[in-house]
Amino acid sequence: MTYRRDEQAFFNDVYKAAFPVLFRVVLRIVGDQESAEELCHDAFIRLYQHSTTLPDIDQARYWVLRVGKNLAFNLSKRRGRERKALERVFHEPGRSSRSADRDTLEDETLATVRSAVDRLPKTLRDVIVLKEYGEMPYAEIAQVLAISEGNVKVRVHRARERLASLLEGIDVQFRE
Amino acid sequence: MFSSVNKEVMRRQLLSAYLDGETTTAEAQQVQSLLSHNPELQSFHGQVMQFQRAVQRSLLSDSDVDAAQERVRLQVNRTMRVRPLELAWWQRSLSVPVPFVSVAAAVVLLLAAVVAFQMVPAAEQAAVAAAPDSPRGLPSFALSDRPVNVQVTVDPSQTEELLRWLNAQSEAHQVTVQLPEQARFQFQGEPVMIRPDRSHPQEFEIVPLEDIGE
Repeated sequence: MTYRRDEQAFFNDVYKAAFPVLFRVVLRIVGDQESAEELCHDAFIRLYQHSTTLPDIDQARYWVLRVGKNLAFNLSKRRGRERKALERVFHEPGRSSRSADRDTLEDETLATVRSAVDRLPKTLRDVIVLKEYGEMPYAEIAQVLAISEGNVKVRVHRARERLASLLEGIDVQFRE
Repeated sequence: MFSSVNKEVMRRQLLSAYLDGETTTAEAQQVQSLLSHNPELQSFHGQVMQFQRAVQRSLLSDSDVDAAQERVRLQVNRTMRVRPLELAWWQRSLSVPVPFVSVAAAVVLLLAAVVAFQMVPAAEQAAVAAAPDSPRGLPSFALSDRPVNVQVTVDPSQTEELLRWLNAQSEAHQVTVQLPEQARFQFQGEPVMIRPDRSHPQEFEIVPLEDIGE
């Protein structure tokens, strides 16, 4: 009459299924690989501690994505506050350097796109990050954010409308 | 006017879903047809494609993600060794033969009945014995009689202040510091003890545990 599942095997399956998406999403939010790895580690440790409450792999995957995403946004928000405080102290607002070098232009374009995503309201930023960086289908985004699929569809569209207007006039060109 | 604007929004929304592969076959055909002759929709399509190209440029390669996955897996395994999952007793797996369960249940019921039968007179006696002039409970114990364990959470910047205060009280026998739950604290460095510096009483010294016996 043994009915308890093997928690270690369950954890390994969830880790394998969730890590690539979680890592890409978290990396997009925090911007550096070291922090992204640390946050993924923290999210999976929390999953390990809560895994007995999660009925199946899908629910566990949505759970860890939600936790990881929230950890990343919290860190990003804290860093933003710290950066603003430093700028106030030293009167050095962030400058964008100009260079004719093509790689630099490409980096600047990516930074512009990144900054445009950061300027979206949280409800729109959540869906567009999970969609574009996590490459998740609407049904799964709906599960992670606990909203309806229709709502995801509307928010993805609104996010793209906003991004289009924020990036209007900026030539997003890349070397092929 | 309103309906034409609304229609345009709906078309863009349909295009957005189409780009994500979230439309039916009929909707996909509708979008393809609209794209061929609607300049505004074409422009929106171009902007979304540009954004997606920028996103693709910024994504890590699969091999980089695989390498990160392996690094984090090793760290997670180390942490799990330090803090193994402890299931509550009622969450642990149980393997018991069915006949044994029925016998055990009968014994438990019998014991419960016996205990309940004896508890009734005991409770009556206790009610009589509890007079207002016989103080019981916490006030009757002196703190010096029993060791008291207190758990305090402090901001890292205030740790030193707390340690100094504890030192000034001369009452703390043991201080355990639980580091934040972050990867870097769990497998770097060796266990240490923090104690007042013998030569400079106002200062603290950090001594590796393996040096304590020397």
